[in-house]
Amino acid sequence: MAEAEKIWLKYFDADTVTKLSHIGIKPSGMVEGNLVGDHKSPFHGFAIEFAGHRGYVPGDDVKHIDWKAYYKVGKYLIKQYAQETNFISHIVIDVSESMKFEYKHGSKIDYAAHMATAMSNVIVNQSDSVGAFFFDNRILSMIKASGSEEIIAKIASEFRGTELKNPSAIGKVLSLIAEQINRRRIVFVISDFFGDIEDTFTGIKRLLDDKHEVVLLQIVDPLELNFDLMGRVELIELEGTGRLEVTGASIKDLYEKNFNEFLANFKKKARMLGIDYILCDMSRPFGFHLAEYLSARKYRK
Amino acid sequence: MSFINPLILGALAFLAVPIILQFFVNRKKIVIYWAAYEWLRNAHVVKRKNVKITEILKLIAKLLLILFLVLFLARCAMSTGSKGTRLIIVDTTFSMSAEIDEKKRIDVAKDIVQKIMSTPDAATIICSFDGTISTIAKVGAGQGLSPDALKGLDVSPNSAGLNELVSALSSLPESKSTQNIYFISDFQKCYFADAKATKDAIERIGKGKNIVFVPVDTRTGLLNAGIVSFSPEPEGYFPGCENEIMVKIRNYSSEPIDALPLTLTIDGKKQDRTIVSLKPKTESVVNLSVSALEPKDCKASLTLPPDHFGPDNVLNFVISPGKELNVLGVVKDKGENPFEYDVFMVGALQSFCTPEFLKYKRTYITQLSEENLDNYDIVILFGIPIPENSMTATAIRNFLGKRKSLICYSDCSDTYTLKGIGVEMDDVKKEMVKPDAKQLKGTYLAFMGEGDLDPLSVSFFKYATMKNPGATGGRLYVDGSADPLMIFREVNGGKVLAAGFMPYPGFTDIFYNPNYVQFTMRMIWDVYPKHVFNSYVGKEIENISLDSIDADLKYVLTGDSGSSTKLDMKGSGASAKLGTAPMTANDFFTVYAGGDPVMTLGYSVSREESEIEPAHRSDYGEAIKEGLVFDEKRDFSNMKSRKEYMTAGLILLLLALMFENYAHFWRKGK
Repeated sequence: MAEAEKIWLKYFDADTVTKLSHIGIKPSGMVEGNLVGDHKSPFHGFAIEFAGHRGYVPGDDVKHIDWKAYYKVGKYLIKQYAQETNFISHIVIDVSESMKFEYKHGSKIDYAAHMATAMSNVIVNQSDSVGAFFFDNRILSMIKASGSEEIIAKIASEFRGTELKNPSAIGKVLSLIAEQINRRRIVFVISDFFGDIEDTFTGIKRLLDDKHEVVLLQIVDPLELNFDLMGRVELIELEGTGRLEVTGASIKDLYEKNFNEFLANFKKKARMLGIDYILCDMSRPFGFHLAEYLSARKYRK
Repeated sequence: MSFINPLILGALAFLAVPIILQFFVNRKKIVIYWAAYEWLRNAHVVKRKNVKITEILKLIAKLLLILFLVLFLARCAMSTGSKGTRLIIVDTTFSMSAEIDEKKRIDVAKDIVQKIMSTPDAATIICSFDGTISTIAKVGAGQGLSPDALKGLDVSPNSAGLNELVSALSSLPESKSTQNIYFISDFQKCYFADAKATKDAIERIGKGKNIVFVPVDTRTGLLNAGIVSFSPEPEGYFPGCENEIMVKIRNYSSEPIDALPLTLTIDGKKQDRTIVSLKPKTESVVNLSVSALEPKDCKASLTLPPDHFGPDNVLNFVISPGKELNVLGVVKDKGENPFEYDVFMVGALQSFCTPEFLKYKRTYITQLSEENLDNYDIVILFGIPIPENSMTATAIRNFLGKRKSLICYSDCSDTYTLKGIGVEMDDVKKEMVKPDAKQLKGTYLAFMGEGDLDPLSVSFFKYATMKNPGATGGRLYVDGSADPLMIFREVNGGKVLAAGFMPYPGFTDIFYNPNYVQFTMRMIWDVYPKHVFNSYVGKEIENISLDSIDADLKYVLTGDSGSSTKLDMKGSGASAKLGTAPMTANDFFTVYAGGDPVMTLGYSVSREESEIEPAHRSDYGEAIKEGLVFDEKRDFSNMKSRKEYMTAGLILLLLALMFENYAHFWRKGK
């Protein structure tokens, strides 16, 4: 446990978490939680928040009849209240080999770990639950959703134990995850999404079918955005056996064009499905991207 | 290709820098494990070929830039093949014999040629220029100049300027294929200091060629006075009498010359001396007396003290002894007149001709046929007409054909005519007239326009004017008539003087005038048939006149200095002349006809090149802007004009940019 705490601290950025906690994470739709919370639930019950009336049917407890309404309309009406619950979120983290990419701004997986840890902190701090999935071309591990603080350490420590060695199969994995979690959850997917777009969105659509709110956090190194290596460079494929020797300047324009096209297509697809998509440029701190996103989300109707 | 600063070529080693960077330094590659490999692979598949091409083009661009810089600094004479030939033209006109610190300009020019030849390697043609261009030597690229190569480069007696240079160059085939033309000259101000003409000349020679003017002499204020010519006084030169000659001296420089002594020596002995002062660029005429001489050819020299150009300080001439003058006077019958008609003429002649020199004979018209005119030098007709187709006309024409002289006085009778010798006269006026005081200049009475002499003190009576004075004009004019009273004319090779009056009382009163002798002297000298002074200056030596020239004889000109030249005959008959090319030294010569001396003459070099003052850079402003290089420093580093360096540089720069842009657009396009 002590070691888990230590790892947790490695990826913990107290300042960022504090700032993010002030913003908070609110689900944009209804969520189905297992505890009473601050978020709207699709279920109606007998609680504090009045939702409306319905006619009395045999079997209803007579104590719920609204007698005041009876005097007014002469009908037996049952008072209904909106149920408020907590939300359960899942952080789905890509630990495929491509996440090993590292240049001047650290590795993608570290960046993802910081993000996941911070988000777990914020969620737990607001009494919601968070769980995690680690995947490459399959689900490597699953951490069940919990509202306890221990879940943060668990998620953080999982990064340590995971070996990045396989290629990603995100579409397939997201479909599997959809089968394993209940409805109306918030699913944060942290990945570089380097793969076939159609395949990726097949998985995403599967999540959307189950009314999950999907948030895509795409981690991209600035070198991948702007290929500024002018000299001679040897590029070794992370998720394959490719090896390329080129002069940076010679390939820059066409590579950037291709890559930007990919990003644009990805973003366009996400928008079409009404999914939140955040491009996390590693040249900026992860907290900046999260704060920017959460703030926008908070004030969104 | 040749270079002014070949050492800078060492900087070509920098060419290796981009090559090393391209092929060696860049080999230090960065290894990256790359995630977004898929898009990289797509890009690489398309780019693989272009990368190599653009890289190579960029490398070429870099190499060209370095090459341009190095060649620019090394001052490359960018020329290839025939264009690499350089043409060195050395001015050999006579002014190149002027001295600079005891060295002739031509020798300085030779040193300059040697210096040019020691600069970058190129095939060279060395030519001389003295109005025409002659090839002296051809030196191949890489070959040195042999010690004897410039032997043929010597001063010519000719004179030439810029126009002649351009004409000569345009007819020189090598000039068309030559890029670099050096002209080594003294650039006399009088011939070359015209910036506009030089600019035009550059355009005519060929724009774009490198024309370098290399002056041999850059001094200023060069003093040079020269003896231009001499002549006897208008009264003539008569042996045995006190004579004077008029010497014209010119100051060719822009500085005044004070107290310049002019000395006349005859046969080595000083005869006379005078002092003259001259303003810049002016002439002055001074008189020197020539006293009685021995009856032989005398070698006379007029000499000025040494200055910056020696050849024109001496003028040589030979005074021939003067054979006796045989004069035949033909008069009408005396009738009732107290004197013979020629009496006053005889008196005048005898006053300036000694009896040893003058042989005068009087004869009458009726006895003329008995006279052998070949025995006489001058025939004077006193009122004797020469009708057309007459025996007199025939005799006189034959006489004139032997280069003799005739003086005709008109008695102003109605029957008087000179038509037999082609001279037309106006109607006889038979009245007394005075000379035209406004038209004295150039006439026999010109001396009366000077001092206290009054031309109106002379009168002519019963006069008749001449109709056709000819190109030489009249010798005497009277008031109220545009036609002259006396004319000079050459008829059948001889000299004719026709007067519209008689020198006799009742016809004119001129003989009462004390100046009548002077008048007669001028008149006789005008038709004097002998060569008294034998002097030839410059090209005059191409036309030597002798009393008679025999086509069968061989004529040779032998100088006192030992030189000997064959004389060529020009023309035939009475107009035949002998000639040879002008020479570069003053000397006395003897003309030998078949081994016998027939004439002695003095030769003096041409004065056409006496204005030795050189032009300077400031005289060529306009031409220098046009691309002329005036290389006073003689460092010969201006093989290419700055303009052409810039052009070459710009072309290379553009080429480099073109490569760079091509590479850029290729990349963009793909």
